[in-house]
Amino acid sequence: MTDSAKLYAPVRQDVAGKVIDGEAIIMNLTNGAYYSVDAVGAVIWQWVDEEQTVATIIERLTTAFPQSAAAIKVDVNAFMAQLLADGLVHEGSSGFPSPVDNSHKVPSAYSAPVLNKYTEMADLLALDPPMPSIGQRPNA
Amino acid sequence: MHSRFAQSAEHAATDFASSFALSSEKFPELQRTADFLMAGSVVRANIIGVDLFEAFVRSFSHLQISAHESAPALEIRLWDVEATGIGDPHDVITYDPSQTGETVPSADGRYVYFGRPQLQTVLDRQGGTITGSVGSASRLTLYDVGRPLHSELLLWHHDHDLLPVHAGLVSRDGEGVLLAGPGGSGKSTTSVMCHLAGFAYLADDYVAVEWRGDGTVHGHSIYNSTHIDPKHLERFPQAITSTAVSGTLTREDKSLVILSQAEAGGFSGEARIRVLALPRVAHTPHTTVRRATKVEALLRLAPSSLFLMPYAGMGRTDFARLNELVNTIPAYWLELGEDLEEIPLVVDQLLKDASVS
Repeated sequence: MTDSAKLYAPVRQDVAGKVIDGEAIIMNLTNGAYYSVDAVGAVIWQWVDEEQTVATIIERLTTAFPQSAAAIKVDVNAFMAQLLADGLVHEGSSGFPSPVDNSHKVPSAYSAPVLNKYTEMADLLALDPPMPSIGQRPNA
Repeated sequence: MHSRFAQSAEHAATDFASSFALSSEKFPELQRTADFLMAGSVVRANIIGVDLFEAFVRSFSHLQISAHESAPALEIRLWDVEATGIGDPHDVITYDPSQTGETVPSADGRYVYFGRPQLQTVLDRQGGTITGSVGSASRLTLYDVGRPLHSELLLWHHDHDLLPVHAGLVSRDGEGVLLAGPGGSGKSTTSVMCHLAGFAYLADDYVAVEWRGDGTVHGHSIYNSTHIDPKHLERFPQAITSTAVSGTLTREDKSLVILSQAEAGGFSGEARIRVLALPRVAHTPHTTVRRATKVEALLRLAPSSLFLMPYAGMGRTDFARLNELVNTIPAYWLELGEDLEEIPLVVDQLLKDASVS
C-alpha cells in the first residue's frame, strides 16, 4: 500500500502520455507497451503528470464524490501501485512537472480507474535487441 | 551477429569510404548513378555493380529525376562484393538469415553503422552519405529489394524534421488519405486497390510526414513496393499478380510487388494529408466508414509508428507530433468489406467530404 503523502511522477525519459477527450494514452517508449485509461483514471494521470501528491489526488476526488470516499482511497493507491509496477512512474518529483491544465474536468460519476495495457508491440520489440541512443543529428 | 565495427562506427565509415573509392576506381564500367527527389531533397544512388543497381533503384523509380548538377542532400554509395571482388573490409557479411542485424552509433552520434547478414552500411548523418557493401545482388532478401536501406532512410528523414509513420498514403490531385493501422489491418490492400482505381500511390507501409509553416500536413513517398500475403494475391488483377515475387527464406511470408513494374497505375512523391483512414477488415459484404475519435486514431497510429524510430530519446517528441497529427486531421474507421473494388469508391467519397469540410 502506498503512502498517501507521497508523490509519483512519470518516468519522463521513458514514458510519453497525453489526455485527449477524457482518455489518457500512455506509451512506454522502452519496451513498446502502451496503455489507455479513461474517465477518473484519465484525470488521475493528468494530475500525476502535474506531479500532484497522492493526498491531493484523493482529496480532490473525495470532494467531487464524497459518497465514494472509502473506495477512492483504496482505488487511487492501487492505481498508483500499478503505474509504479509497470515502470510508468517513479517516486518523487522529476523536476519537470507538466503545467496545470484545468481543462480536464472530473467526470460526473465515480468509477474505479482501470489501466488497460496493450502488449503486441512489446512482444514484437522483445525479439529485437534494444536500440542505442543516437542523439540529435550533429550540425552539418 | 557480432561485428568488429561494434567498437567504432566512425572507423567503419572510413573503411567503407576507402573500399567504395577503390571499387569505383577499378570498375568504372560497373558504376551506375541515378538521382531521385525524396521529400523535396535530391538523393543520389551511386552504385558499383549493375545487378545491384537494378535491384536497389526499382522501388524508388517513381521518384527518379534527371541527373542533377548540384550536390545531393544524400548520396547512397554501395558496392557489390561478389561483382567487384573488393572485399567486405572486416569480413562481416555472412548470409546467415538466422542472424539478427545490429545498429551501432559512434560516440557523437554522427555515424550509425547498420549491419545485416548480407548488407552493411554506415550513415553519416552530418555528411549526408550512406556508404556500404552488399555481399551479392543475387542474395539480397525480398525485404532488401522492396524496402532498400529502410532503417537508414527512415533515420535520414527523421533527421530532416520529417516524421516516419507506419501508414499507407494515396492521393488524388495532391490531396491525400493517410491509412493507419497495424500489420494485417488492410493498409496494403486499400493502397493497392486505390492505385488500381486511379489514385496516385505513395505508400503502403511508410510515409514521411512533414508539418509546414502554413499549418498544412504533407506526406512523402519513399518506396513504390508492396508486400502481399500470397493467400490474398489471387484477389488482385493479373497486372499485380504477374509481377509478384516470392521469397525463399522462412520469414519471407509475403510476396513482393514493385508497383512501378506492374504498370497498373500512377504515383506521386508527395500529397497534402486531408484525412486519416483507419482500415480494419470487417468481413462484411460492403466497405463502410464511420467517424473515429482522436484517441482511436492515436492508438491506431502511435504504437507501430513510434517504434520505427526505436532509438532511445526520440519517442517523446515523436509522440507529441503524432498527437498533433490526430488533432489536426479528421479520422474515420474504414471497415473493409469483401468486395475489394468498392474500397476506392468509399475512399474517394471520404476524400471529397474531407476536402469540402
